[in-house]
Amino acid sequence: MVAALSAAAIVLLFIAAIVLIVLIARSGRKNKSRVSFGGKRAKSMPVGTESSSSGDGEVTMRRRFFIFFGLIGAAVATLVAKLWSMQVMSGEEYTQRAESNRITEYTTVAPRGRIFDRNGVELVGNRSSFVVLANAEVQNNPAVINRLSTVLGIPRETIKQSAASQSGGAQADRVLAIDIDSRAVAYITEHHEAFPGISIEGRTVRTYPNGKLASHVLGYTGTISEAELKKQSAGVSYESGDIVGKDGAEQAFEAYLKGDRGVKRVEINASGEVVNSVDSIDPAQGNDVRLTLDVNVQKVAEEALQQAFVDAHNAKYDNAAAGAIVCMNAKTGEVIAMASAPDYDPTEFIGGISSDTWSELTGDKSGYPLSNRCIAGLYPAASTFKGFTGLAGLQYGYASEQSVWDCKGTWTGFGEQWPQKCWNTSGHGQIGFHMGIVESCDVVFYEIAKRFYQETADSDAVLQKYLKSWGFGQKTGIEISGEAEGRVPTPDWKKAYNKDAPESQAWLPGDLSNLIIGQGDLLVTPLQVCCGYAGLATGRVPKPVLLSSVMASDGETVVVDGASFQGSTIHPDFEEKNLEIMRSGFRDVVAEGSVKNVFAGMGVNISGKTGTGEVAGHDNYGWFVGYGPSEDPQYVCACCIEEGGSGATCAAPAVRSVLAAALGQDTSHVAGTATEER
Amino acid sequence: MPKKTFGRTPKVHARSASPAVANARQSTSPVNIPLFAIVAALVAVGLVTVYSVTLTNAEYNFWRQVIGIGIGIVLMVLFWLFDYRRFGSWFVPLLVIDCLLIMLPMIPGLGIEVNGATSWIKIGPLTAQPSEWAKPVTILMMAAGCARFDGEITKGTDYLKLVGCLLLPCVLLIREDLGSTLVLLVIGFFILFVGGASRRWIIVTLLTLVVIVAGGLGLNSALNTWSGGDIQILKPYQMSRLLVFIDQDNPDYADDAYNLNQAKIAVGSGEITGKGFGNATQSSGGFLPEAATDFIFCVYAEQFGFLGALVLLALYLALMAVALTIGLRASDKLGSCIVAGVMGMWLFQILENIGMDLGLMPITGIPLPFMSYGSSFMLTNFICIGLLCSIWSRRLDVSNRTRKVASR
Repeated sequence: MVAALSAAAIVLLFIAAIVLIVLIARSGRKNKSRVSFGGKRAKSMPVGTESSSSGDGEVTMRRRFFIFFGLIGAAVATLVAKLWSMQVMSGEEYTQRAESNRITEYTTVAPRGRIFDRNGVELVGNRSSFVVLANAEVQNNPAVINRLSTVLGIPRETIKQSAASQSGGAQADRVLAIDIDSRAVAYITEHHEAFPGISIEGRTVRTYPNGKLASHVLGYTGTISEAELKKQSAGVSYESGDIVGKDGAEQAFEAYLKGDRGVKRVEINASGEVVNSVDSIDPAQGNDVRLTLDVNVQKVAEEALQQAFVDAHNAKYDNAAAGAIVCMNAKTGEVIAMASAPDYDPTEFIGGISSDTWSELTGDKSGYPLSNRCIAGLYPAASTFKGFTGLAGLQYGYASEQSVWDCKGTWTGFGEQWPQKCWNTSGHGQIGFHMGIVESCDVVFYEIAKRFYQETADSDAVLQKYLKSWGFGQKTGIEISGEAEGRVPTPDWKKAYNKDAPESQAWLPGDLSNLIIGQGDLLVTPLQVCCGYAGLATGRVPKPVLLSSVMASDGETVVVDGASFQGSTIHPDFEEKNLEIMRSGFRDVVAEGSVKNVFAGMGVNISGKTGTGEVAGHDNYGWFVGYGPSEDPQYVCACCIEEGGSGATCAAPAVRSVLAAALGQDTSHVAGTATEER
Repeated sequence: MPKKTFGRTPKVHARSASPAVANARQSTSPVNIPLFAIVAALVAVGLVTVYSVTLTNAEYNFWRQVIGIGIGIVLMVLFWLFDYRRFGSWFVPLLVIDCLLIMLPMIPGLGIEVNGATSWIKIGPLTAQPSEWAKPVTILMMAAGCARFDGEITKGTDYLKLVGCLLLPCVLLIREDLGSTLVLLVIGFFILFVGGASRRWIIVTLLTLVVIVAGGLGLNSALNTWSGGDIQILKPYQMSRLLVFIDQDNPDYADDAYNLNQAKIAVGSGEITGKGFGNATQSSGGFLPEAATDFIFCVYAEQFGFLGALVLLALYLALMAVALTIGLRASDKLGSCIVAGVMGMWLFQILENIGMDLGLMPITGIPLPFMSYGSSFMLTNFICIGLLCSIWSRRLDVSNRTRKVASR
């Protein structure tokens, strides 16, 4: 409509111009006689006399004036045509360009969601802090980089690298330092003229109200890496300098915890100064995550682990300093405590970890505190494995409640040249299956291994397949990363593993008898053992989970219910009566066996199994796995103490404390009795 | 005098047909009402636009501009009262004044450098650009020179003499102010053209110009390369402005391209009706440089859009039409030549100033008549109006002309 009006206006203008010219031309012609008349007089000729020469000059001038005006008309017409094309035809395009000149958009950082335990106790929170940002120019300003290095105490090269990072876009601000102290903030703001291109922005960083508690489960955060930026999935947008979860729950539940950046549109001038705020979308804090952990049980678990080292030291196992303990709901797989020692302080990672601290945490002498031994620690399962191999013997009919064996302390079932010892070298004498479990008699299991060896082909790996069906040799599927698969040795595996050493490739009968007592090449994680015993206790191997629920940051709305992730992913084959035989054995391990006094007076009947792993070149690794109440198992807890000696001495008291805490019983420590039992 | 009455009678019929002069139906009136109406409208539009810039840019002072216009009006009246015909015999003094004005900024202590060119003088708190005043002097000088030939400059020597006198101030000015030099050349050309230079000489001049421009650019870059930048006819920024005009997307000329782009964005984003008074975001945000001076049209077009631009161009066209009638009806050739020079100056400044905003012309810093901020050129414009008025008022007074022509 307006365009049509303008078009009409142009046409009218042209017509008017033409009419004007014509009219002036005509008036000129009328005047001609007069002017030429005047011209004549100019030559001082008598009035009324014609003079052609002078008239020519007048005519030329007149004609040229009109040519001149024609030029003017053409010039104006050209301008109008170009204005038409720019303002009417391409006006919108230019308007957009003017807008993009004027309006700039930037995103604002959103705080991450918090992490709570199952009862709503805050495990990871946020606090406000300051970050140092640099614009694209700073990388070319060594003076500013030097000054920043001095003020912030960060190496020059590190700052230079951060300042040169283009991961957020060539013109985006780069994060140089996170969580700087108030002294540096004050210095930089007071001397801002000495720091051109540097700005300080308020952001939030993580706080850990419970200190190091559950650090392995919670994990830590860090600045997003170039690699992580590149592989980010569609619909999720990270920018350079964003803080992301790097380990544990922070990493596993990143998608929930991550906040949505806000958008701020501001009007700027040519110098890039903000003149006006146009509009903004506030950043949305990430959702809160509730873990299945129970802070109280977790605390007991971590203390119990430390107490286990003391117990081990008292029993002359001075090297004991590392171990893992994990406790879960036997039915749902909800992990209520997961502790690993040694541990680390996640606050070290706030604002970027220094390379010194990093090498302290990862070096050869560090004891590997970053490793979550519950899921990444690989140990021989030792006698705790008898729970599964014994069940295998019952399932395949190679053992029964009525079976009786003779333990002489040394077993030569696979030939005199390969004697194998029971932990009780003086022998258990005549012993049945039930007492074989309670006393953890190795000879009983050697005999079962012999039946497997004699009656099934090595290559069928019948025993190994059955053990794998209980979840060994594969990841349990817990949400947090870093989980190890473990290993159930088979003839095929042995051949492939020793492919460079042909003399060691043959599958020997001793491999089977070692496997059946949880030794040899077998490797398991404490979490696998825990899940397996949950299966033995309830008949259903749960998938371990850490996510209880995801809540909106208002703390009320449930976004995701963790129950939807619970369930079983593996379904071992067993007969209920055989399981009952095993359970009665576990019950009597606690009621009558080597850990009798550890669990005495607990108020709840507990079942369990000890284990003492032999690791070449190390002191024995102590194991205990227990569940309770025996009648209706609620919680299962597995513990392994590296170089802690007998499991009955170091691990069992720890499991007692944790199960007591989970079941609401007295959690005070009860020391075990020293025993050689494995 | 009987001569006077003789000249007066036929004019009544002649003028009645033209709308541009319809208001001047009283044939003897010494006042050209349409001229004043148009100038008043242009000054008003200019003040509104300058005012809109001063809203956000403290660099410009609205009242300074108003005072400039006030002085301009005084000058206009003085030139109106003064009989322009007396300039006819001042050819040589005018040429001398012209050159002196142009050389004024070269006097140490008087001249100051602005944007890399020494074309300003500073006396106390006042600054001025004398090359702006050289424009009317050149008009009068060339008109005085051409008028002597009574509309027929046929002899080559006469023509060359006039061209030589025109080139003298131009050569002095070209190093410091290419834009104004071009204005002087255009003024001279149109005075020679209207003043009756023979067609042959005009064509030869135009062809020579093409050769000189092409050859000069070539010579410039050749000299520049040969001397390693010591000898430059055109300053690098002048060269860059020319090149960016030819090759608008070349990143080598980013700074000049920036100005050009921002100017085009400002004009284009005005769309049909404009963003409204005070909403020229391109200038208020500082994206558009020199908003009140060189790029005043952008500020205007951004606020008032295509329709506003049409109004402004219509005003300019009307101004030209009125000037044309004055030129056609001047009592002598001197008057006609002066009008041709004034029209030439305005035409070129309007075409160049608006054209550069639209990417039609290379960027040069020459102001837009009655619009651009700055008093030097505003005074020049009012002097020109004063001259037009003087010519108009004396259009019927043939006696002087007769005397003068006779005395030649």
